[in-house]
Amino acid sequence: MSGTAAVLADILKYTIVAATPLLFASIGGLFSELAGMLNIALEGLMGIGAFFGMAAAGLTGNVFIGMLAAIGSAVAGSLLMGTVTIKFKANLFITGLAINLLAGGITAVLSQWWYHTKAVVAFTLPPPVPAFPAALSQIPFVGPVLFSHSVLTVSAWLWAIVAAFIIKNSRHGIRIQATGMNAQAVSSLGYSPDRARMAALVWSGVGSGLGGFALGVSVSAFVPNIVSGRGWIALVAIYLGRKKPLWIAASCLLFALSESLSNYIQGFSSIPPLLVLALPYAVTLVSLIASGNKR
Amino acid sequence: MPAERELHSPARVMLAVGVSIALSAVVLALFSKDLGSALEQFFLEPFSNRYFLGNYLADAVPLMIAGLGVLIAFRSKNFNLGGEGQLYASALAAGVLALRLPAGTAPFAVWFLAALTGVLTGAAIGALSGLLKAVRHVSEMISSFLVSAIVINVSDFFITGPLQDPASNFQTTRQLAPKFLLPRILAPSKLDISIGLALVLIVAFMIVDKRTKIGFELKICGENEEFARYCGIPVAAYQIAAMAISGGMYGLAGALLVIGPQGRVMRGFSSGLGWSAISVALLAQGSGAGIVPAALFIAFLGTGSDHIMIGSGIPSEIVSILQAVAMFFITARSLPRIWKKRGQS
Amino acid sequence: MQPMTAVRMREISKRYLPSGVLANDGAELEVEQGSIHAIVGENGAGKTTLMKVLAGLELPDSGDIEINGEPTHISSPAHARALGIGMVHQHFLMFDELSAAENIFFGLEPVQKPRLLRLLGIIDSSGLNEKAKSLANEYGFSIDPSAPVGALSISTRQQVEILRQLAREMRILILDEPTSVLTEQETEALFEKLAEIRHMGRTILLVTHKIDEVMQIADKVTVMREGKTIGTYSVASTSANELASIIMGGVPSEEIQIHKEHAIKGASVMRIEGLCTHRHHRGGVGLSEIAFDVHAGEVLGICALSSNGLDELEDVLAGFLVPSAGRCAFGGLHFDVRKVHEYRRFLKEGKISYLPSDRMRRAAALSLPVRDNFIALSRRNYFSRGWIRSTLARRATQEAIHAFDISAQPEQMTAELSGGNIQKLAIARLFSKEQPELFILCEPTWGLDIRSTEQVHSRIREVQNAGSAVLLLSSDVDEILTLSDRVMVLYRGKQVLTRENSGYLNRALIGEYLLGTRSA
Repeated sequence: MSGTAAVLADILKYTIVAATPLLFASIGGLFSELAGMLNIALEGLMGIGAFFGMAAAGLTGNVFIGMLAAIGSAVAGSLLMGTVTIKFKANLFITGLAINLLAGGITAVLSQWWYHTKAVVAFTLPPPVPAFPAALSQIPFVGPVLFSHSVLTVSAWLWAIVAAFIIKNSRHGIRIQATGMNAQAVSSLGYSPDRARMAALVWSGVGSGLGGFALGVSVSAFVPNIVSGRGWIALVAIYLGRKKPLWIAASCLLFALSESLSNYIQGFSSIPPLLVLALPYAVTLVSLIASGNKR
Repeated sequence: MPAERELHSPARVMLAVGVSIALSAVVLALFSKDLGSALEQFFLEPFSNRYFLGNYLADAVPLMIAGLGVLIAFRSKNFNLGGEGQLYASALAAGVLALRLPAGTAPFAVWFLAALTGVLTGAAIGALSGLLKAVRHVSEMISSFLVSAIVINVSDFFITGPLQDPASNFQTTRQLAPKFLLPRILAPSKLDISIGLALVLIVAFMIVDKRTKIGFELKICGENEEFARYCGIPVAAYQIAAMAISGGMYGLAGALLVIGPQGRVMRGFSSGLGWSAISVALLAQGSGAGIVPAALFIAFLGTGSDHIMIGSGIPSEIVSILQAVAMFFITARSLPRIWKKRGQS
Repeated sequence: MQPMTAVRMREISKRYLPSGVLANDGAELEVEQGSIHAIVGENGAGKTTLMKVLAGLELPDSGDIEINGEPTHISSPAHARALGIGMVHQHFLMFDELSAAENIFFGLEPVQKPRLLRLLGIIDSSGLNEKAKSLANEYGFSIDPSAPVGALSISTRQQVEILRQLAREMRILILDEPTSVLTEQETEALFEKLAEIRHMGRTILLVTHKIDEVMQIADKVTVMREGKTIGTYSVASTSANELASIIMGGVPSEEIQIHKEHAIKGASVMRIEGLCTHRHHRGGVGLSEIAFDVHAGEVLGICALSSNGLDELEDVLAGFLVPSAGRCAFGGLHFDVRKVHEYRRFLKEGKISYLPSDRMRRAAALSLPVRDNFIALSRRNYFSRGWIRSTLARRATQEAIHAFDISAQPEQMTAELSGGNIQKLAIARLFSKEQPELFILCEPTWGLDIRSTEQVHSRIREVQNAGSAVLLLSSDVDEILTLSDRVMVLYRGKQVLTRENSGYLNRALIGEYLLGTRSA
């Protein structure tokens, strides 16, 4: 394989890896978006999931338990947000902001308490389980790009497919969609919009928790500010994908490609790395502007 | 449907303040070896001597200015979530300008030009989000956050690259000449005359708010957009202006930190100030005069958290938790039903 | 065999708070099972309130209700549904991006057979579409079950809404002004369906103010006025004209005192030609080819019952709605009305003064003091070089409060005022400004007591005599007849009458145009 092809394969492979947390979180956020709630707390919920997921995985040495802890902690955060917003009639954006602040605080405080550092906490995890037989990953180019991934990465795509199916084909999904379209009509037919909203927030907790956990697993550590804006990028992916799971996945790939490229450029070019780090945000901002319109 | 108990604004503020103080006390009780002295440190030390008091007040100054900016954006129903980047980039722009000015420049001119640079930089960044909202209907929350993220990276690059102080081990710009720094009051503390400017701005806002046409029209835009259009007020222009002012105030706060307590721009300069300013504006509940106590309270939580850290090894990020809890209570409009039932029985 | 009584409502009274409006004042209603029963009356006669009581959306202050002979107390919409009472609202409660079938069977979707899928509530989509199709066929509706309802025509959306109630086994259907958004052909089609539904043994309550429709489809009709039931008549044994005069109060035209001096007609102030709007703005009918002019010193009264185009006309004249076609001449300028910016300038410069019909939403900032609301419209007068002239503002507010008899203080929060006082404040604000060339007054006395109404009327005559042109948009026929030099009537968005307010016009005649029994 020529050098260029190898580089390209590398960039594409990392694109799929980088898309994993975005896809988990944005599909989770899609549920609350469909229920009519712009969930700006994805960022914080991802941070919570990353920290507790990694902590549990590190403690037990079991990635699956870590995953459950990530989901559980992020769902707890989204339930807190939902309770304050729906039951106490609080402003959704302010509670979202508070969750983001809370996430930063709790992870730093607990990191200091449990690991005696606010900096990087490295964990030794069992090696990732490959999702495909080794033979497939030997296929030139396609092998490393598509078939070298772990079960966790592949499950992000399964998650997106299952979520899309639930949204479109289940009573539950229809209830959530209907709440976002016309909450008054939902209650006039005798169903509770608030219950649908709460359920939608739980889904976004699940997605963000998994997304945060995937971030932690990818570096085998908990790093302060590990999410660094990915929750917001996931939010923009929902907009850019016009709330359609397939297009959201495509948007996540686009943002992940810009992240992958920025990683590559950092290593191999004279452009200063810190400027390159801004690339994913810039791509996200431009696509946000492009997807906005005159209503 | 039974009407739930509505919480009114003073009650919400009292609850928010009370609960976050109580929570800090609980944290102290859990983690300190000597609760009595820890409580004393937490609650009284900021007032115990000139030095601590001055530093405490100095911490409140940028919160007052930036918090006032957030409040003005709230007036027109805009959420500016780009404060971190606006403050950082403006501080850098102001710092660079002050470093480039000839050594013979009159200090007053330096202060003025640096502050102006900060205001303009922040205002330009803020206005961008306002413009995107008015023209493309892009959520100002998301766009201001993303712009801020970009701006932070670019600023990081300048500080660690072309503007790095070669003589320093830290990632920072060079230090400003001491004579270019704002005169201190309550020396040796960090407090300088910018506290005067902060108070003047707050009073000016209160006057503009109460006495001028601009303040009047901004208020109407925020209260009822349809009524504002009926009155012939250019709603979109006020949206953009409010975001620009909000960014400009963050910028001013950043510039004053550079020509004041900090004297240079280090990497990670804004360190959460952008978010804390939002807490200040929320606590002030829309009142200009409320900014002062709100900023003093949030600064107090910050100072208190530093003391918790020293006394117990709990990191100062505990302040984020305290602020988040305060936010939950400020924004809750009604008590949960369980609470109400208990109140009735 | 005596037909069963499906609904019996006795002595129903309902007073809305805090406005204190008595919407139902001992209203009575008796509806036979398997019939189409129309409820008619002017705007504000209490029809909709009575139906809301029946649908559990409002609790009555007093009165008794029997459903199918069983005394009951309808406490909630859910309770009404359990009794088999369903309401099709004027503004449909739809999920635009869901399919017709999903809208109809929302919450009742058939699920897949396999146990796991059933537990997860996975919908059997083809079964759902089949179900929707067979329900539609049963009642002779033709809909595409898989089409998203947002893409459907208004009349099809209405069918979806009706099918939704039928799918829920509702035995008593309430339709609130179902034809207000339909064309004549669509109305015909709807009536065929309603006849079919009646044929299946269900009862239909039809709220309307179009008499031709009552004559065409209903078995019986109940007339309401001022919250009371005037009477219930068999359609077969009454005529359209008889019904119209009962609705309008049965007052012969001679008795109406038209105390207005004929003003001398001045130069034309505004001329509108070929004004059209797209259908369905605010759920309305849209305007077609509206043309009028109004002269200095003249009041042109434009009258219509709700959902006949008055809202759209107001929004165009207020500069809030961009019309689809039309030309306007004002102040010597001719321009395309689609260029709203040109038109808005006149409002901004104070050449046109406009009083919105929706005071709470468009004419007040409720959480600001009365003074701020009062000065908001003429900021030029109360700010000098950008600074407020507070003494002047306070004094002017105080004077207006006094002159218009508003119970308020300048410093009081506007939200604390009653609806009537907020209304008077909006009127005072408009009449305290420097006099414009044209007044556009929308429902100026809606909800005011008699004394305040007379006060406002004399103000309108004053500005008219001082040379302003006045466009009076009102659904109150008496007000139109009292004040207007010329009268224009809109019906289904079309101009069905434009004439001098001479002895020829009277309440009953205008009523016939308003109710659609007579056309141009």
